[in-house]
Amino acid sequence: MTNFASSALSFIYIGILMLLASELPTMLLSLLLLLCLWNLLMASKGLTRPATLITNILAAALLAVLFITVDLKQSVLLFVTMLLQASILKLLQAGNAKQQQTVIVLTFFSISTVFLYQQSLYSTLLVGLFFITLTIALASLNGLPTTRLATRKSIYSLSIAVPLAALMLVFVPKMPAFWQLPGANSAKTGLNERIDPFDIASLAKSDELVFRAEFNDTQAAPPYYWRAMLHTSFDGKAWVKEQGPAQVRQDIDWPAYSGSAQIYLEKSANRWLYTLGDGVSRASEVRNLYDGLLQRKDPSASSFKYPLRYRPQLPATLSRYEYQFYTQLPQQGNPHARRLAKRLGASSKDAEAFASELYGYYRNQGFTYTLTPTPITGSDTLDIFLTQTQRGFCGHYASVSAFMMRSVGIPARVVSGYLGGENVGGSNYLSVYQYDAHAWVEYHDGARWQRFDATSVVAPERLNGSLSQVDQLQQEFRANLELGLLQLSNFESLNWLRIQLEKIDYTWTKWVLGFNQEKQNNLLKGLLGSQFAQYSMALVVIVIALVLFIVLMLSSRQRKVRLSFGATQLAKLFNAADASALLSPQQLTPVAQLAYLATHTPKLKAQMEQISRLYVQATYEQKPLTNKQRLELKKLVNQSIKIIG
Amino acid sequence: MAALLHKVFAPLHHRLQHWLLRDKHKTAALTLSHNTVYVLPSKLGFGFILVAGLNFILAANYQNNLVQLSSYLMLVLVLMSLIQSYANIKGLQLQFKEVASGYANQGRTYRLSVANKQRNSYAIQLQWRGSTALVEKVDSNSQDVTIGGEKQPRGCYQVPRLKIFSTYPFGLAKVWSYLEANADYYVYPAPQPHNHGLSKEAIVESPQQTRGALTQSGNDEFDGLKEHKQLADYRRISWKHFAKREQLLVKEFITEADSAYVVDFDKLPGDVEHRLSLMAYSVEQAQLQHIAIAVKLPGVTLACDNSDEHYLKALRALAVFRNRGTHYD
Repeated sequence: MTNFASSALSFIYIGILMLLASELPTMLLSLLLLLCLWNLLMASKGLTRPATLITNILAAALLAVLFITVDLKQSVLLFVTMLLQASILKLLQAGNAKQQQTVIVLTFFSISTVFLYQQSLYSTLLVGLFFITLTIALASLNGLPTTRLATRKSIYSLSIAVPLAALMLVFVPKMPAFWQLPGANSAKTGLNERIDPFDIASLAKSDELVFRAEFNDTQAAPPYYWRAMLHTSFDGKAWVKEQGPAQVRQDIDWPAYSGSAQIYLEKSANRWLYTLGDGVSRASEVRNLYDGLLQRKDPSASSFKYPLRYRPQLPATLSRYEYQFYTQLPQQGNPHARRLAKRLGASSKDAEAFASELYGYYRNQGFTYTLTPTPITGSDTLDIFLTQTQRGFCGHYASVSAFMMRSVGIPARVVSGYLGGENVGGSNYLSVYQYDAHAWVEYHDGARWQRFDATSVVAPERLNGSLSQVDQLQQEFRANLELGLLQLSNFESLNWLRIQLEKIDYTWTKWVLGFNQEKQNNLLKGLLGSQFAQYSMALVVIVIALVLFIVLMLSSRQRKVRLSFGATQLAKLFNAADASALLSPQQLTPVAQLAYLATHTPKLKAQMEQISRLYVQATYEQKPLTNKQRLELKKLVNQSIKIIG
Repeated sequence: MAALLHKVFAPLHHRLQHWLLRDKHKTAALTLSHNTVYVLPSKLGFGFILVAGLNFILAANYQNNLVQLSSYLMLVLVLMSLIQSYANIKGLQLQFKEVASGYANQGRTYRLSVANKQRNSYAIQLQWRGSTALVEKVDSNSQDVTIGGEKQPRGCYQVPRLKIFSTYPFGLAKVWSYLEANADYYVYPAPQPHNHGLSKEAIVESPQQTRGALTQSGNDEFDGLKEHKQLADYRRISWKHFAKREQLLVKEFITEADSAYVVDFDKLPGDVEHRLSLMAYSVEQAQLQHIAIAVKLPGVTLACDNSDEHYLKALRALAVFRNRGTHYD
């Protein structure tokens, strides 16, 4: 049984490591996986466990690797990694049942750390599977003779415990955070604070979900430009996000924001949030910034939900300082782009005219949209793009356009975020994936900020949905996508499956993330009425006590004594005989009793002899009665009862 | 420090236990029911609750519903374990059989029978004097269980309390009970093989000797006796015993059963324990070969006899001779 538990634990830790694979440094991950495999080998072959000295050396070595590869500032990751390391090392040493039980109990904590990073339905199901396996391992170490029995017992217990735990989750009042814990940092995103697309040869796109937006109204219509960051200064090569503290908006005219949506954000280590046009949010964790952008106050990596209110950007005049800020360019570089801008600017009277000139230029000069551009290195990258390659994705066009606008004195900035989102099967929400990442330009026409997106000319279909839905680019898009279900989306049934799974995951995420203190209060008030909501805790206690009492009653039921067919028939006969006072006054065995009846009640003699023969055959000769014999016995008994009666 | 704590708390613990258990368990046969079964989370169970608490804190601080769920699930699982552990052991019937008396160089074994007419019980552990036996499954058929135990010094002992416990099904809860059969058992001195012949003498029911007259040493008298063994010829060697013990024994004893042999404490060498061991050996040998012997201990004289009760009496006398009283632990 110890081998079963040890193997099961190895598999669980391999599972945890795979789930956290994207968070852990590769070297540490592979070392820990190797240790798990080693333990699996030891458990299956029954090899002797390594000496304490060896595990101590291993522990020291792993700790050294940990401190080299993990950034000390990422305190949560550091903690999670140390926990996993310690548990796996302990597992290596655990040879007897007692030590393994300790590791199992520790593992109940380890599996929870997965939820700090992932809360999707799939990871939840996997962790649930680990949970079941852990209880089976515990049961197998505590005297359940076979794994099958242990499995049955565990599943029985959990099938009662899970609904009770869910009940507690819903009805036990939620606690506020006891103290501020550091967030789980994660450094992955499709967006970058630097937009420098020119040295990228192939835009590897990830089908990782970024967020889902659920619209509470019907006014939202594509194209959906999800704004995240402003890149306001050009450093000669790239457009970079302005550093320094972001300006917080003070007085917000809430009723003016007519659009409303809920955003379910997947885990992200970034502060920036997503908004349509000019957005604000009432969520306490969200900071409302100038330019209608949102920022998260606490950059923890966990998943997160916020309400969004939005409206189109309103007219706003630029101050003199702002005008200078948005027209700033390096003195040197990209002369061709400057000349071209000057030429286009000469024939246009205002910013809007310049924009349409620029659109026309892109359309007529054979510029194309591609995810596999020719990489451009060296200086004057914008010039090379304009004159030579002329193939690029959003980043190329946004960079060049903003540069050219600034060079002729039009205030401009590059905006990055996401474009579109997949609307699954007519539902009221959009799923936005990493491959929807987009960059475009905002220029000020003297009255307000206007959007300029060259992609709308080069690849107009891109505006009306997710990148995955643009026919022209699908081939190229799939080729660049990491392997996933989406890559197979031209098989109809698989696509259907993908959409269904996506819907389930949406509902799940919405529920798991959305169920906070406020939601709970509303739910309790709705279910119990506002005056009884405060007694929800008592309700939980009563229900749990009741269920446990039923479990106790069920499990202390007495074993049923199953009488054989022959015995029940005989009991019937004897009852009847007893009523007529024909039975022997002494305690006799059934066969002797039958003999007694045969001798003392001669009219029963024939029946008694036959009954006795059948009874002896069934009971003592281990030959079960055939159906015919059963009928015969029944008939005989009924006959006798009639005679007695 | 630990020793001091133990000194302070051990009597308290003893009294508390005495008060809690009262005399409910002082019986040779017990069917476990709600008033004789005790249930608490096990050590592992408390560790489990601690981890559930850690998960709870983690969940509250990260406002994480799934971690919260897992924390609640763990708590419910402990509660379920308590119930299932109790239901598993309930109705268990224990019947004390015996703790067989024996020599001090052998381990003692506790024998009892277990059954459960109501349902099957799994993973029942039985513990006495630090040794534990595991019964994987108890059903309605009564089964005998023997629990080995450590060796003990000679003496007469009361059968100690038997602890019945189980951590079924998940090891998170521990149910336990006790069985205190009112019975004694003897531990005889370990037999020490020797070649000291037995002197044949007429047994005189001597009056009670005074304890002061006994001497611990006095080996001089025996030098002559040692010569005796040389007289044995090969035909009289008990080969059966040679095979068993690799020691030459002379059959002399058997053939001349008509005379009374005396196993006499005063005529053997060594200290008290050594002499008792030598005597135990002589009694054991005599019993094996049905030789009538008389046993003389200072203050106790057993007349010559070869009945089984006689040997038993003799061994018991050796077991308790000048012992520190009867052991009751």
